[in-house]
Amino acid sequence: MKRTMAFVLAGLATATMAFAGGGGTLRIAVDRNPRNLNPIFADDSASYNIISYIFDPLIRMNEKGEFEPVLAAALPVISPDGKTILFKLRKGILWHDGVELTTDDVVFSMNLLQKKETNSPNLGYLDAVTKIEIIDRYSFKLHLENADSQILRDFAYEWIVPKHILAKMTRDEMEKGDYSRTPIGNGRFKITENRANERIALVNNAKYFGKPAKLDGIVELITPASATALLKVETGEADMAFCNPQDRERMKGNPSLVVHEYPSTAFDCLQYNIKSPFFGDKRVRQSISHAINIPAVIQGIYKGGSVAAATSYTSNFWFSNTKVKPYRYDLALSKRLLDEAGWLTGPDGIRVKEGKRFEIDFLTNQGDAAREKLVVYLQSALKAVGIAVNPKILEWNTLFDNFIDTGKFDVYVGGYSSARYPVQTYYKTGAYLNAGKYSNPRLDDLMKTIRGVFDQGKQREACFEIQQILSDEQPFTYIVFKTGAWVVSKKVKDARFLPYMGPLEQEFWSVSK
Amino acid sequence: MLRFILRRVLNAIPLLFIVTIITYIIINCAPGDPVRMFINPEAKTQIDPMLLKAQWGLDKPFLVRYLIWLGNLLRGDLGVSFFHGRPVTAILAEALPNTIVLSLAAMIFSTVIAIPIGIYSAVKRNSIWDYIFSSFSFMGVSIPGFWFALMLILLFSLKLGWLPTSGMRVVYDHVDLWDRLRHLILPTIVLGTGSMASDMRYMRNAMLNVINQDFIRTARAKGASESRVILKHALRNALLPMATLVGFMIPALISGAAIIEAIFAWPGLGRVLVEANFTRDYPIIMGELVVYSLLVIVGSLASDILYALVDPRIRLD
Repeated sequence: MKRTMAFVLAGLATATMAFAGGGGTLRIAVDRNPRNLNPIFADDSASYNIISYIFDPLIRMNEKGEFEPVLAAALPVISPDGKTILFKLRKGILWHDGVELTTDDVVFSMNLLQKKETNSPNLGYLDAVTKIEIIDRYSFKLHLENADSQILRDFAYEWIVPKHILAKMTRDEMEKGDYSRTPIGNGRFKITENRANERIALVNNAKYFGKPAKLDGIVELITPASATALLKVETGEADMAFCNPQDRERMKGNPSLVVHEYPSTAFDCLQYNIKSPFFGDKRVRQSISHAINIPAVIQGIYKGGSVAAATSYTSNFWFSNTKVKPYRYDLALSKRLLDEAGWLTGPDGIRVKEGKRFEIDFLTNQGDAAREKLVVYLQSALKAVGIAVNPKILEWNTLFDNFIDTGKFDVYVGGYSSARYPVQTYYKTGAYLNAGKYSNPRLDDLMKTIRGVFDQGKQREACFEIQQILSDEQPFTYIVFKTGAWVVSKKVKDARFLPYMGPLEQEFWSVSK
Repeated sequence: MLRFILRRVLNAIPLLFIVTIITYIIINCAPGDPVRMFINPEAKTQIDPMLLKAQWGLDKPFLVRYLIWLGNLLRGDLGVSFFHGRPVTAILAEALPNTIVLSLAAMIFSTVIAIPIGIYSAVKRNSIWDYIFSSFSFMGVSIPGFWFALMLILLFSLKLGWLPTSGMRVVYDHVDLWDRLRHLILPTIVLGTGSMASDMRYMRNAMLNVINQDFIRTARAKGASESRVILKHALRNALLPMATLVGFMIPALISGAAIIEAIFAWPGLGRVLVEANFTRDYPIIMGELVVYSLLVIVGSLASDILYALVDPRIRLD
């Protein structure tokens, strides 16, 4: 359900005078409520989606992973040592209530984020800012103790809130009051209605500073389940909804709908517990990766727009190392690696090392049809190289409470979402999401390097090496980037979807009556 | 009468107390951790799970947590939802009216149909129609609500396109009666069918009991017309047990609405509860269970009082 945070600017610096709207209202059926629409407190994707219509960031990240200015007049100027960042705002940006957006608002927002008692989930790397220096109404300088390139990414997902409204409020009012439900923003759409479990209505902001949206409005219809959301699209009560794998074929048969499939950032993988007696040796992990026929898995299980994953990095960004390829299916090599690691074929065909049989549980969560099929496939695929697999399909909470969180697992057949940034934290020593307790000092160093430099070339170099290490080390066996799919009514014109991004620039779509 | 009501209310207090303890234990035994719902790998700041636990009071021992919750309850404070970050009372207050509308509609739907059919079946017992209605009512009782709901959506929304699949309204800026009714039809039928089926049986039995009594024979002997005998003499007496049933229907309808609301995207209590169960939103789950328990208690009390009111022979004291 992730809408890309895409915002295209008018190509020209001058405010475009083109007419706004005329594109009708796009009705999107979704399956969850946003929790909090105040950008200071929002922390879930349903909220971020809506906030991205109502608020613009200072800069944004485009589909190649490059930064572009939005509220900022140009990309920020970073000093050679990386310790000061100079921002200039566009002039004439108005809040939805008509007041002009200035550095005052920016400073207010940053102070608010940084304040301890705000306890914002969106502070991100802004805590690295030691001082905010106001230069004039439209420019300001940030001082950092240490250079940190992650901070730019934060500006792309950080929104400014209006000082003239929030300054009067207590923290509780900001977090729980009206502003958290119907905030005044600065983006292409204004929010007019927010009813829990029912709908959220947005209308075109005619006074937007850049290229105005084509849609007159966007309505999110909030349903309890994705199946209900799909039904609404089928009957024409909504124009689009996210489509789960099990519904794709049926939807393709509907002549009034189009199914857009694309590889998403969500990937499925085998996560190894490095502390387990089986997986401390990387040759064992490599061996398993070589024993899986990914093209067949895609064809038989994942279908649609999914693609083989070489690592957890997608292939569309400037920091994607496309030289790193998925492991090839090679049983002979797989067997040889196991032999080398000391796992020798026993009397019943299952490998043995120092009296220990290679028999392991593959854990996965209930309710994910693809993963359930995958573990069954893995059972037969790995038997061919002498590994006995017992698939264990568990209820989500039980799986995490009793196995993953406590480290009592060998292999978790699961998945994560690939971040759109060179630093990914699944492998960082001690990180919360690093359930397999993988640790590699070189990887940790490279992540630090990326954060320390602003130079794209140097970041890319480090990130390329990270991807190489991941490929060689196989802390995960990467399977696929799963298919994302949306069902869209044929009444919707100009609908565009990008690999790893999903729906692109919905504000410029239109809906015919 | 007053003493009876007072006694019942006093009895309800320990009952409510036991219910909250049991539900609190069950919820806390269920695997799952609300904190995990908030770990977002793409988030800018990785929230510290321990800090969040402390914020929500989940770091305290079970008994302490329960006592704090109970103390707040006594002050009328149901706490703040983990997921929505808003007071539970505000969330429930928003959802309750919608649930009441749906439950009332289902109650009216089921009684309006069940009572005439019940009477007819009793009067013409062992006729072909009696058998048809009986089999219909057995079906109605045994049909799983969620399946019935899906079938109705399949037929009336997808195939015929007559009614919306889900939601409560399309027209939002004012009350449009037709728009509301269209959305109300399917959930009402699904929710009402179960109680309609059982009400039909109750009505039939109550009527049969009355019809075989002496005063009915007397009425006939006086020369009263058959319709007068049935509608005036028999029906009035047969309705007495039905009155108590109505009181018990309230909690049954409202709790039965949970699944139905989730299927029809009806923004009521049930839907809030289903969502809260998935996100392990303890404050909402507990708050709703208190509301449900109160409804059961009030419902059964109401039916006792109602019974006493309609039947002067019953003395509650």
